[in-house]
Amino acid sequence: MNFASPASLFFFLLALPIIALYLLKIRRREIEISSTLLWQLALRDRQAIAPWQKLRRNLLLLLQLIMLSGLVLALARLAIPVPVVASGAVILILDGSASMQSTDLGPSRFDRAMQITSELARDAGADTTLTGILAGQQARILFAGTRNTAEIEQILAGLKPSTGEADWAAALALAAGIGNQQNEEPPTFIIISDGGLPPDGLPPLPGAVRYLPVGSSADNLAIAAFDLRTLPGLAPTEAELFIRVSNYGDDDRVAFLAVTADNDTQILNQQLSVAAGESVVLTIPHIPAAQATFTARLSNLQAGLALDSLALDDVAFASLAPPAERRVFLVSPGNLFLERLLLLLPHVQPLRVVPDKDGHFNIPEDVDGLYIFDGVTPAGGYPPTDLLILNPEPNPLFSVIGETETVGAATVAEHALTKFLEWQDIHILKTRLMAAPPWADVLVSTAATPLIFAGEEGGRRIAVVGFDLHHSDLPLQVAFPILFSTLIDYLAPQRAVEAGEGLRVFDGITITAGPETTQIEVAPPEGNPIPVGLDSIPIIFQETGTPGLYEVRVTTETGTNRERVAVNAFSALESDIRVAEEIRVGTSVVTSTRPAAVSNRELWAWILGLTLGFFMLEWLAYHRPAGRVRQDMAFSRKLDR
Amino acid sequence: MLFDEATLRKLNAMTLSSGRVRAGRMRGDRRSSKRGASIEFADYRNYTPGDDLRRLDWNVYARHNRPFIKLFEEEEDLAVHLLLDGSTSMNWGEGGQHKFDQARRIAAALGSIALAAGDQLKFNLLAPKGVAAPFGPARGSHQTIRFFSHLEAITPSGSPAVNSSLLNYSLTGARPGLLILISDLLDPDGCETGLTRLLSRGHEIVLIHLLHSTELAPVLDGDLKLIDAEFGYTQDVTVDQGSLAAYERQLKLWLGKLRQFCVARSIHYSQHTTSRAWDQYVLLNLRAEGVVK
Repeated sequence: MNFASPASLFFFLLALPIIALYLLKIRRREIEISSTLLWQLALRDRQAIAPWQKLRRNLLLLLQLIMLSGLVLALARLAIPVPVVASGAVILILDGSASMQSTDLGPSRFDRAMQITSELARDAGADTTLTGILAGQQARILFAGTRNTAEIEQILAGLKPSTGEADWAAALALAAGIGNQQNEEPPTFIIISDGGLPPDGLPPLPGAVRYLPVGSSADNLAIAAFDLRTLPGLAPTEAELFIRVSNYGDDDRVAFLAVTADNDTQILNQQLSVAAGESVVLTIPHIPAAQATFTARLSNLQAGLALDSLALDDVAFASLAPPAERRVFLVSPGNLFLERLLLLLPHVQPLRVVPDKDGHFNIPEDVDGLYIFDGVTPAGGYPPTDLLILNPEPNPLFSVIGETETVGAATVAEHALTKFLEWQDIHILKTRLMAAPPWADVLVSTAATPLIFAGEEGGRRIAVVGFDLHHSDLPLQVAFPILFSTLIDYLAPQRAVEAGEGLRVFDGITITAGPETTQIEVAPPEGNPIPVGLDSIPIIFQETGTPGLYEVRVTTETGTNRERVAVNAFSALESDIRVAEEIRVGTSVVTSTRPAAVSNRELWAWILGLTLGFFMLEWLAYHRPAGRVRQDMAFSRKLDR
Repeated sequence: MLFDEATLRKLNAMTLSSGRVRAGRMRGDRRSSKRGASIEFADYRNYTPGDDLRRLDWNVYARHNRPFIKLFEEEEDLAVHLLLDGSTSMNWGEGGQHKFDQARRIAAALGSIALAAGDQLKFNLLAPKGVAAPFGPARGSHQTIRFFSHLEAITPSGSPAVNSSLLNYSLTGARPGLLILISDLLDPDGCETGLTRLLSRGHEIVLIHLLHSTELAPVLDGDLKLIDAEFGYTQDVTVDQGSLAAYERQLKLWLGKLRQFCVARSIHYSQHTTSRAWDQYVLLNLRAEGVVK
């Protein structure tokens, strides 16, 4: 026990005048009575002869001395030392990722994390200030430089964990930024998490880092993948359903897996055994493409019981939309490779633009579709549509410097468009020297020039291949159909809505809108449809925080096209709810922390509250005789009877 | 007027009750220890020369051939001594609850009963110099008005010591009889010695202990300087739960001691509180206690 302001203890000397006031004669009211004989006899034993006898059993004096003690102790800021995780400037980083929804600790791990935060605030000494950062889908500051428990608890009361992964890099960068602003001693960073941080790539923190693990169980069975795909071997109206169920726990698990279509048709309902740490993959072929949406759900063998600690990944969704026919205009003096490829690609309507008698290619106006310019520049310039340009000539869209026959080794960039692209055995005789514009991502490049780049410019998509196909052996390689199929899918999507290989929560839904589109709405799984503005290009709907099926409604003058998109919470990082013993931040490995510091918890608020209580007691004690007199008057009437 | 005609009529129908038979001086309505000429037979004795032959029982003489004289009860008067405490402490109370006023009316009631019964009434006020304002000895109903006038004229004042006043009265050589003392007994010296001396003089004592209701249950609160109305003493007191409880304990102890003293000496002790009507006290309580009948 110690005092933050011990000088205030001198106020205890005020007890002396209080006692002196009780020793001094009180200004008494003079009242004449018939005889003082009985009072003298009655008070003979209570008569104060010595001062200490006067003070003996004086309730009011006792209460006043207690109140004085309370006030002095409050002024002296009485405090008791309590062990705490850290003191001084403390920056709390609260894990708000999906795995914190796990219910192995009461309501959830996130509730426990908030409880720990509140306890840290309550235990914070006078020398401690707390700053809170929520590491959710977006990192944000919750509170800064405070130890007001009520304020902190009020802020925490409105928090919910995310349904996706936390942006730990942003959260730690934010914490580091705040920590660097501390003028005094370096702050202490406390990470309250179940340890689901990325294994590397996190920025270092400028101070001591403590890790308070939250969670106790690793028991989680999750649908790790659920998708529909059309395969070449299947009929055009059929698809294959793909499901992967992973067991992240330590025990083998048996569960029911049910798959239903949007019209509640049961596709699958079977018991599934998954060994600890293993995954089971199921494929269901010949799914009618007419059945557009599917829901997979894991459940406990015993009805009514929870399957595991994390329910978020026990359900998954998939959707299948019939692909649209795409018109692709080939503007080329003649390219057999491209013509054949376009004929082979599904849902592509290939068209050739024929040159006029002067050999010029005239592009018709108001004809929408993908144009492929193969070494040709139209007389009126490129049309304002999606473009695939091969062997480009100088043009206003990007810079073409010249041509080179010295084509070195090419590098393939990590990009969605180069996912399956193998470039090792491809040789190029001659290529254009280009400079990639700012709006484009370079996909394949040499030291001298980009070979292939793609991007969006002015609301349209443009991909550029810098060489003539006839000057390379690319058309003879397997990379050719892969590259051009991917580029054409990118430039002319099969669906109005781009969902790639399946959207995860907080992924944006990219919506393709034509000039005839008048309105776009997205109906989330819960709640009312949300209108999407047509101004932004590209049109991306970002409010996908809830896993489920989103319906995109694109309205034109001819009607409304409805397409459903599945958004899932697939994340191995979040489904693996095992509590990490240690985490890596920057280059440091941080293990779980026990209380490592001592903080002084001030009790002045409690003492003041108690003092007020004693004040009420003193008031009651002072007014108590009035009640006694009434009792004695009743006694008098009793005597009379 | 101390009380109305109706009350007076009720009182005139009553008599004071005396437990003992005493020799009187004048003929009255009460039995006397003397043998006299009333019609109530008492005893026989042998004839001695000089006896009134009218009292010789000739029937007994004829049967026993010996002369016997018939003795009859002598009916004489009772000496009633009314002593009223005239101390300032009796001058307390408001309206109908004024102590001395009630004591004066009780004294008037008892005096009128005594006068109506033909008893010899003697009244004295206990005053600083022994006894004062004497009335009587008087006898007969015709003295009632004068007695009332006398009572109306007296006022309490000073601080007489009850004990010494009683001692003084015992020295006056008053004829033993029924002595009624009306007092609040709020005297530091007590009254025990004086009462014992009066008993030794042959008085039969009725002690009417008159207290105000606030003396039984003080209606006080806070830090007070109590001033004794009689002696001027002061007493500082903080009236709280503890001090009121102590007062209550002391009151019970004091009343208990007084009652015990009276019982041990055959003194009739009767307590009256001013909150009770004085006439109800006389007509009901004193009758129930056997002081009047």
